[in-house]
Amino acid sequence: MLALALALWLALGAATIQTVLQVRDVTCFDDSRAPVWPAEWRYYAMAITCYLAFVAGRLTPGLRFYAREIRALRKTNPAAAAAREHVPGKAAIAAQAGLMLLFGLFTLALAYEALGLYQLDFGAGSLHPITTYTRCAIAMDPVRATFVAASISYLLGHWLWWR
Amino acid sequence: MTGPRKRRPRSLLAWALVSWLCVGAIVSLSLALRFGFDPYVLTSAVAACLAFVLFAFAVADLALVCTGRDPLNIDDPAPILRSRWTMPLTAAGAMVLAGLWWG
Repeated sequence: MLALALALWLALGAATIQTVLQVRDVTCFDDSRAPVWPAEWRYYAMAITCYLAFVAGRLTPGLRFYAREIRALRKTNPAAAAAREHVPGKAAIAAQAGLMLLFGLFTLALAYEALGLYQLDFGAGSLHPITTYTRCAIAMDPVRATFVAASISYLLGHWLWWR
Repeated sequence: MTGPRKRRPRSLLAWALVSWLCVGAIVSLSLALRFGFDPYVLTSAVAACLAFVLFAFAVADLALVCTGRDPLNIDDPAPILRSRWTMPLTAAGAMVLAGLWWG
């Protein structure tokens, strides 16, 4: 399920970026000194949607059979439930490797963002920060951009805030 | 006879914060001295430092798990990480900050 969600998310993200790159008359801008509180309601709707998706990511593991089983067992036999909660070895390694990959990607993305902002603010190159592309995507297709952002929020809430 | 050992922070959270502070300060100072002060660049760089510190902890954790040892224990000395409000408040704060800085 997670692999399917990740594949769908990657495909949607790639499609959105491709569409943004092909469209010429999009109202997008580089200026990071935009109004502090944007006047358009859709930015707030997008932020609220992402936050709700984040919370939903936390709550949905409760729907799983495994989680229901643990919850039921905890009421009757707490010791057995604690033993059952122990994550098996290979699964623990896979989860830990995924977490390492996630933080590695965050590091690269934020370093690229800093480099893009530096090149933009100091006129030192042609790179643009990731937020420029995000603004373009929101301006061009707010619904699809919101879906991609909300799905990322859902995955983060599901993965990082599961307990 | 050995003297009293220096106290070290036992909390993983304390280690993470101290590491972030050190790495962030070094990177920020280097960037500010080299390129001048730009709050947007520095904020992104400091956020990248936090991600890097978490990445380093994840690598250490993976190495411990792969070698059959206990992973880093974030539960024991860091009750703030166990609070049910930590994640939602962090997410809300991050979104407000992102809106203020990059919106």
